Amino acid sequence: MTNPLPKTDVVIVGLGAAGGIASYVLARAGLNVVGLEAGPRLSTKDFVPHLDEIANGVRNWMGEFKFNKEMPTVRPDTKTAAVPGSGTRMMNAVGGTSIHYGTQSWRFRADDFKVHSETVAKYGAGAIPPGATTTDWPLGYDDLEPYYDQVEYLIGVSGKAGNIAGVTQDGGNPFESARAREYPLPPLRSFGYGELISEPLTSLGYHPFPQPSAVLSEQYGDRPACTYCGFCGNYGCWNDSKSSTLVSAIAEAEKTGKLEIRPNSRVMTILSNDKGQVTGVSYLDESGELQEQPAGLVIVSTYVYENVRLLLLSTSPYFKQGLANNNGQLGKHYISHAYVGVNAVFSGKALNMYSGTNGQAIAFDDLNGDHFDHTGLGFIRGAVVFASNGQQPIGTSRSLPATAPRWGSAYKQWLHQNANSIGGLFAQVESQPLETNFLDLDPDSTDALGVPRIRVTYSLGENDIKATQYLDAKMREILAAAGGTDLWNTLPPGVGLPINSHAYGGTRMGDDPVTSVVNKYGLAHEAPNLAVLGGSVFPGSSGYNPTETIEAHAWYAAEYIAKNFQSIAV
Amino acid sequence: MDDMKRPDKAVLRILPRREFIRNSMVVSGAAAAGLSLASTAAFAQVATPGVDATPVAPPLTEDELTTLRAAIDRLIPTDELGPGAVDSGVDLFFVTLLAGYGAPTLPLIQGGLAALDAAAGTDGFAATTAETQDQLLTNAEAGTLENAPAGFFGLLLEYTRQGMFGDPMYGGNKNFAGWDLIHYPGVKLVWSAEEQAVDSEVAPEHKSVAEYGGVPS
Repeated sequence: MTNPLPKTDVVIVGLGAAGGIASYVLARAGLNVVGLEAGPRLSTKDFVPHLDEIANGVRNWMGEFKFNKEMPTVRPDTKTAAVPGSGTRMMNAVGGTSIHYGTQSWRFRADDFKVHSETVAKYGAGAIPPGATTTDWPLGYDDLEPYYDQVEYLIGVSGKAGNIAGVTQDGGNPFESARAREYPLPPLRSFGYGELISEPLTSLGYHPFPQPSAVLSEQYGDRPACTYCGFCGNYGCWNDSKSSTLVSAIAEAEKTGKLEIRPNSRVMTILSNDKGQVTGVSYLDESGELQEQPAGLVIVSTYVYENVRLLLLSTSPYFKQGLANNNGQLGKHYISHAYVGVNAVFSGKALNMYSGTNGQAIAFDDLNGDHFDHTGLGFIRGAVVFASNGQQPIGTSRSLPATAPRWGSAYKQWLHQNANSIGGLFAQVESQPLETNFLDLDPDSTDALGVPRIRVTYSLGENDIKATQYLDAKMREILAAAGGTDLWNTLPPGVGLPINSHAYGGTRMGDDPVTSVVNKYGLAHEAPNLAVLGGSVFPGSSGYNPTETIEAHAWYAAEYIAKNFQSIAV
Repeated sequence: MDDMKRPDKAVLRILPRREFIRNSMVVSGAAAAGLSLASTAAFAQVATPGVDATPVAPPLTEDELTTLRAAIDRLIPTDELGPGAVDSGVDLFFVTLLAGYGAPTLPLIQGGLAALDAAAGTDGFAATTAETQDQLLTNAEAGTLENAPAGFFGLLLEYTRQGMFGDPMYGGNKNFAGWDLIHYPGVKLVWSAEEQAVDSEVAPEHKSVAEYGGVPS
């Protein structure tokens, strides 16, 4: 190793959704920030030549820089040997997975932060699933509301408010928790299948509305409006219309002159002293040389798996079991979002869904949270359900009802007749953390650099299995009412995904150091100048996509860190 | 929103600003060279020009290639709905794939092809009737084809679909046959509101990302 580099105020490890927002808040507060990003710095000139499904949907080319090569291993329980995992598409670049995410940009609702207390109050303590570590968050919706608001206006989110200061708004989500003001941009435009599916939804008593999306429905600053090209989820945006942190928070942070971004820089360990304080990081620079970057405060904002892995790998005489892990909480309370999806054929109708974005969707919230009575159902909570665009050709060729031939002339005929007539619904189910689901280092498997992989021990819980079954039945009822036939599951009920781009926990936030790793500001209980940000701090999943909450919480935490920097930093 | 009604104009407006067409004429890969599979060795040498000048060893022997072509042509045959897998260049897609990104799966594919040949008798799979070929593929799908490695059929079908319905710059989907079959218009950078309506007719654009400087990943 060469001599340590000059000390900086803050090192951020990973410039994605969380790190990107944190870099903006800290740099604007006048702190000197070094952003170490394992992936490269990409832009539209890199995204344009990759508008193809094989590069993104099949090979995840932007995960090749790191994530694909360190895919965790998986096992259903501690008695079973772990095997290589697969499937999920996270990526590495300045901007992180906000570059290629599906852009669904939700706020959680007030009750999502109080799942334990509200469930017990309504259904009794026995309603908490056996073995579940369901808990309330150490902060509430009101704490985050101003930060949701700032995120939406900084990055550019399109949507329709359902509740402004307690007043229900026509056309929005009637279940929404109160927001201070309208979205900065109107919702993405209405589309044929969305209108088709809204009719039966309304007549069945549901309340459909346009899903909020981090894609520009209109010009915003110097970024142009979305052209509905259909290359969105899994793709980098060629038009800068997708509100990644790369084109919003990070671009703004750099204008301050206080953020230095070092791409292709992979952090290997977080360094700490004999008092339990972190002192900086060691990382492989662009040329593969090991560097030491001292800092007054370190923010780890990679992703659930790498956040946990980096901390577990950063042992010291003070932290023999991993950084900030003297209470053995690292890797616990792991959650993977459960899903269930149903497709149907709308015979003879051209639906034209090879267009638009995943964010251009009709959603409803009637089956989410506790918006319906769960008495006697055998599960708590629910899912947001949505119908979205962005159908892809290879994906279409794979997803078939049981009645369709899988190959041969009959297969061609089926595709020709139906491929442009497929519509569906998808439910994203709030998943409960279980004592038996956790992350640790795999003693038997390493990545290309010889570093142990994360091992995921995970099985879908009984509560979530029942929830997916319930939602499957409801979605089938709706699709049949809409005139859909040949219904099939794009993802069947009761199937858990051990590795997920919607993973949570592992560095849970809480008030009690014995049962959590960080406090509500993301600061480690045991290492006070170490912050951890991202989904890994979430105590629960909610039924919603996580990114906007990750960003709002990162802003909330970074603002606290900036205001109290002198007393927190070392 | 005038531009939205004239997609081409909107694209042209956007392209120069984004420096899209910087490489628009540089169409790389085997597809652009309009290659046939007359010689796999010759193909392998030009499969990745500018990426790796070293000639790649052809991943499949001529015999294996013959079997592969016979098999994928049963999975997606040429018929009254249009060209099948081989006529669409999906064999070319396999060769590129198995020499590069998909190289780790080469033994699985080779093992499966050998199993198809062995089960077909002395003249091999390609020489048997379409009926027998379908039966052997059905056995492979059911996992009852003798000596076929586990997962062979699923992977063969997945790769065939990737080749047939993926971007033509990877070698398959020649003349956009796969996309036309499923009414996918091709790379289309602007969709109007009218085009997103139910039952509106969306004309095929027949554009590969190669036109925007794309190269196989």
